[in-house]
Amino acid sequence: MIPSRTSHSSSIGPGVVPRGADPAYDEEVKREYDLRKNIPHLGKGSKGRPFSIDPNVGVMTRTQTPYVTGTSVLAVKYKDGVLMACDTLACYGSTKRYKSIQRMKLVGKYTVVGFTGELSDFDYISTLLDELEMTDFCQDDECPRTPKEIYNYLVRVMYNRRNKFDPLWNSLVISGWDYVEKKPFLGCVGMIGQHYVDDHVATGFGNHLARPLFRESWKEEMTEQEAEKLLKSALLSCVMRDKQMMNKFQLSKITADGPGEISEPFAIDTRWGYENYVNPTKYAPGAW
Amino acid sequence: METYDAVGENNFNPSSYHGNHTKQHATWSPYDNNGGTVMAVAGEDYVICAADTRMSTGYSIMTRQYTKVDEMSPKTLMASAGFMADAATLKKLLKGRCDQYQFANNKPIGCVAFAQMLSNTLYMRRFFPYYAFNIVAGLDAEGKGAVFTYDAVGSYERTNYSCQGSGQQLIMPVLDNQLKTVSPLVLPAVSSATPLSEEEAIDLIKDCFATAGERDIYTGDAVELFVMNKDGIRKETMPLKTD
Amino acid sequence: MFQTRSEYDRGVNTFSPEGRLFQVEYAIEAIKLGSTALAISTKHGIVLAVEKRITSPLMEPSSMDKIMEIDSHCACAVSGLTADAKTMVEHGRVESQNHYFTFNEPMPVESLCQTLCRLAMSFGGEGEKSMSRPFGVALLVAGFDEEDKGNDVGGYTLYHVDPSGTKTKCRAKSIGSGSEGAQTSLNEEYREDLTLEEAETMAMSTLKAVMEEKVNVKNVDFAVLKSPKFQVYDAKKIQEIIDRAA
Repeated sequence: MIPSRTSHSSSIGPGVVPRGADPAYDEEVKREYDLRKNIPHLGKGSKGRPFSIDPNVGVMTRTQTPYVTGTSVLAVKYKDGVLMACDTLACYGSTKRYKSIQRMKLVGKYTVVGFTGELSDFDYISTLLDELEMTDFCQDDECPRTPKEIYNYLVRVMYNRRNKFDPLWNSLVISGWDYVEKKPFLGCVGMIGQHYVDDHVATGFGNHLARPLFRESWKEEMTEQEAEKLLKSALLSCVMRDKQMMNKFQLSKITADGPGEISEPFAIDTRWGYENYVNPTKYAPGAW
Repeated sequence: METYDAVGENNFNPSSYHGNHTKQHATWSPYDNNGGTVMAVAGEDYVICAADTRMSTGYSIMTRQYTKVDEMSPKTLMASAGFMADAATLKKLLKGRCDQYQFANNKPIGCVAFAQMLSNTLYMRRFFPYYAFNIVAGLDAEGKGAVFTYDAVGSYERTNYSCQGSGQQLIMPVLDNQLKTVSPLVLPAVSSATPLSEEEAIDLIKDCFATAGERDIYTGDAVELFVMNKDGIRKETMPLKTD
Repeated sequence: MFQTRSEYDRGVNTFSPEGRLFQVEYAIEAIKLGSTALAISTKHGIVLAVEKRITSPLMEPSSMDKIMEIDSHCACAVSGLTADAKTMVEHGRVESQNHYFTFNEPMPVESLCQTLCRLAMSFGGEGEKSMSRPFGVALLVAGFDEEDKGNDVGGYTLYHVDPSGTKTKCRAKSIGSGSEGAQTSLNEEYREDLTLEEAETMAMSTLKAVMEEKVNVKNVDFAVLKSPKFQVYDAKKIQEIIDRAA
C-alpha cells in the first residue's frame, strides 16, 4: 500500500511518503526538486526535505540554531492601509554580513510579509508563498488570497514545523488590505505558531523598543504622513539601541488601490551627539 | 545554560544579561506560556464564562485584544489559557468536530458531550500535550449551568465554578469562599449550582479579574464575560488596568 | 413483478434502463421469505415481537435470536438472513460504543440507524471487508433518546431499516413473510395512547393471526425497550401475554 500523502500541497513537500514507495511520485518529486536545485536545503547534496520523515534519507538534521538573521520588523495600520518597515541587514552572529537584503516580500497584490530571524528559513517560506501566489494567479478568478488567508496559512506552516520539532526560525509580520472587509489587516506569527492581530506590531527587539512608542502615539484614523512619522521615530529608537540594526531601511505601503509598494532603501537622520556618547566613560571611572 | 533567542520572543531569560557567558546560543522550546486567566461560574439557569484579553510572552505584551473565550456550539463555551498556538489549534479542531456532530446527529453538540470530546482529544496527545488549560461552560440537557475544568492532558471534572491560568491562585480561593456549596454526597441532594443571581455572579467575576489584575502581571487589559442563559449568549466587556 | 428482468440483474452497481437496481430489489424480496417480526411503539416503551420458525423438534429455540440488543438504550428485531443481521448489529454496537466513548452520552437513535444505513449501502466496493451484495435483512430498530431541553428530541423512536439503506420512522411496523397481513391489522388497531400492556397483547394477537403454527413460548420471542433498560421476556412472561391475547 502506498502511504497516504498527508501534505496538502506539493509546495510544502512530500508529506510522509518514503522514497521508493511510489516511483511515479518520486519522479514527480525529483522534477520538482530539479526546478528548485538552487535553493540550498532542497538542492543536490542536501540531506533531507522539509516536512519529510524518510528512513532512506538517513539522519535528517534540523536547524538547531539560526545563523544568518534579520532583526526587528515594525508595522502600523493607518486610515487607508498599512505601513511596514525594516532594515536591509542580515547578520551572521554579530557580523553585519549582508547589507542589502530585502526583508519584505510582496505576496499577490494585497499582502506584504516581513520577517525577523533566519534568512534561509524565510527563503523557504518565500517559495511556499510564491507557489501559493502562482496557484492563485492561475485560478484567475478575481478573488485573490486575502492577507488574512495568507496569515492563517503561515500560522499553520509555522505551527506544523514546530510540531515536527523542526521550526522555521522566524517571526513573520503580515500586512495587507482586506478587500473583502474593506479594511487594513495586520498580524504577526512567531516561530512556534503563536499569532495575533493588532493595530501595530513589532517583532524581535522592536517588541521592546518600538511598541511602547506605538502604544503611546498610535491613534485610530491616522493619516499616512502621521503613520510614517511614527514608524520612522520608532526606527530611530531601534537603530540607536539595537546593534543588529543598520541605518538602511525599506518601507512598504499597502492600500486599497492595488499593488503594495516596497520603497527604495533610505536612511533616517540619526543624532549621536548626546553627552553620554561624546564621552562615554565620563561617569564610569576606570572604564576604557 | 544561558539561553538567547534570535527571534527574541521566546524564552526571555533576564539572567543572560549578566556575566557568566559559558555558552551563548539560541535554543527553543515548542512551548510558551502566553499567560491569561479564564474562569466560569454556573448558576441554576445560567452560566458565565470569562477571560481577560492580554496575550504575553515573558515580560512583553504581544496584544491587548486576544479573546480567549469561544462559542463552540449554541450551548457550549470554551476558554483556554496556556500556550495560545496550541489553544487555537485545539479550538479549530474541536469546532470542526462540533460541526461533524451537528451533521451526524441533527442537533448541536451539548456541553456534556463536548466536555468528554475535549478530554479525549487532550488525552490522545498524552505524550506531546496541548499546553492549554481549559474551561468548558454551558447549559446541560436540563438547562442547568455546567462548568467543566481540565488539566493539560484531559483529566476533567464537572464543577459549578472554576478558574484556570496565570491568575488561578489569586481567584480560586475567592471563589471557594464565595461560592462553595453543599457537598454532592449530602442527602437529601442539594443543588450544586451557585446560589448567586446572574447579576451578582457577573459582579463577582468582574471583581475577581480586577483583583487578579492588581498582582498578576499576565492578567489585564480587559475582561470579556460571555453570559449564557435560556435567551442565548450575550457578551460584556470591562476594561482592566493595562500595566 | 420482474418482467423486465434482464442482464441488468447481475451487477450490484448497475442500474437497469428503467432505473432500477435489481439486486437491491431482490434483497428486499428476500426479507419477505423471512419470519415475521413486528414492533409497536407507545409513549411508555416499544414492544418487539418475532416469530421463530422451529423446523425440527431437535432444534434448540433459545439459540435463535432475532431480537438483539445494540446498546442499553437501543435494540432491534430482524427478519431475513439473520447472519447478515449479526454483521449489521455488530457494526451498530461498535458505533454506539464509540459515540459513548467520545461524547459520554448514549448515541441518538437516528444517528445509530444512519450508521446502519450507511453500512447497508456500502456493498459492491472493493476489498476483503466490503460486502459484495446487499444485506438480505431488514431491521426494526427501537430506541430511547434522553430528553434535551432546547432541542426538540427525546422519547421512544422506532425505525425500519431496509437493504436499500433507507430508514423510515414508524409508530408500528411489521416485516417478514406475514408482514402484509400484520401491517394491515397494525394500521387498523394502532392508537397513540396505547399502554405497554395493550401493545404487548396487540403484538401477540397480530403474530398469532399471521403465523402458520400455533403460538407458544418456544416459537415467539418478545422484548420491550423501556427506559432505563432493554429487557427480553422469559417464557413465563410470554405465556402471560399468550393467555391475555387468547
